[in-house]
Amino acid sequence: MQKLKQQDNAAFRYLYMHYRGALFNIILQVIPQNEAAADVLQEVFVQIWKNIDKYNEEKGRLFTWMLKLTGNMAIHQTRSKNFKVHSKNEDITNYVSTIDQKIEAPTGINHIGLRQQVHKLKPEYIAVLELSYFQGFKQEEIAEALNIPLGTVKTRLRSAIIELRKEFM
Amino acid sequence: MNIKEYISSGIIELYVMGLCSPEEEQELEQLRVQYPELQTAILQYEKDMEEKMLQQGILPSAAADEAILHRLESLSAPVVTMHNNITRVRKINWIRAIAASVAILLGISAYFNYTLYQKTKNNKP
Repeated sequence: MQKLKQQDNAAFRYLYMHYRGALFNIILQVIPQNEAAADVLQEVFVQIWKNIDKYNEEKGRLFTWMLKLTGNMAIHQTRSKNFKVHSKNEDITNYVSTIDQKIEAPTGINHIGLRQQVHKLKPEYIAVLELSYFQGFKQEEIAEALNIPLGTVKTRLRSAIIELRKEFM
Repeated sequence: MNIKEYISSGIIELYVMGLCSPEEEQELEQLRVQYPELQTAILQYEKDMEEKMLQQGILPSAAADEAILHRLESLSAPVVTMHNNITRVRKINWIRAIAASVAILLGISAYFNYTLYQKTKNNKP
């Protein structure tokens, strides 16, 4: 860990070789095109390199930190590419209306992954996990878009993730 | 607070995935210091998750690997990159200088050729 914090070249090479597959899979769940996903993977590792001093070991494992960063960057990429023109509120309405289609075909490619597992759950669980994890919306925004109370979003998210854990692990 | 109920509520999973609201996150971070069993449960989930995701990894292409590793190397050695750039700039300047000299020489030679040609033409009876 210390070598990583010193931005040691060999340590970063190891980090990349060890974790690239797991993180690439996460990106592919959001961006199913191999080349575009590889670009994001590069940007993810550049950000890991630049921000490694901000990683706090007491707050969790390095992988968890990288996982969150990867998810955020993948979502950021899809938003900046596809939804530049629209305001955030319009975005979420679009997402909600396309959730039904996404249940049929979550990604273009058949990845064995998180998103596929999510899409095996109940529709109301799919909706909250899709919007929060794969689209990066806040709980308040989801409540508004689905027209349900914030408390319901919270309960559904918790039940959904427990279900997912049972399926996934 | 019933910590067992809290642990099994799904909040740990949401926290690790980064899906908590800021308030929920703050609450959990305070509680994990107070309750060792919560701390253990979080660490265990993180570990399980990492293991599972490493098993399910999908590798990028060899070309992507190479490009990314190259990029990371260039980040850790900015001095070398700068030096390379300078040499490249110098090389370009040399090439330009040679090209310019050749052009000037060609120009001069063309001029003399032309004037000589005119002279010989005019001198002809």
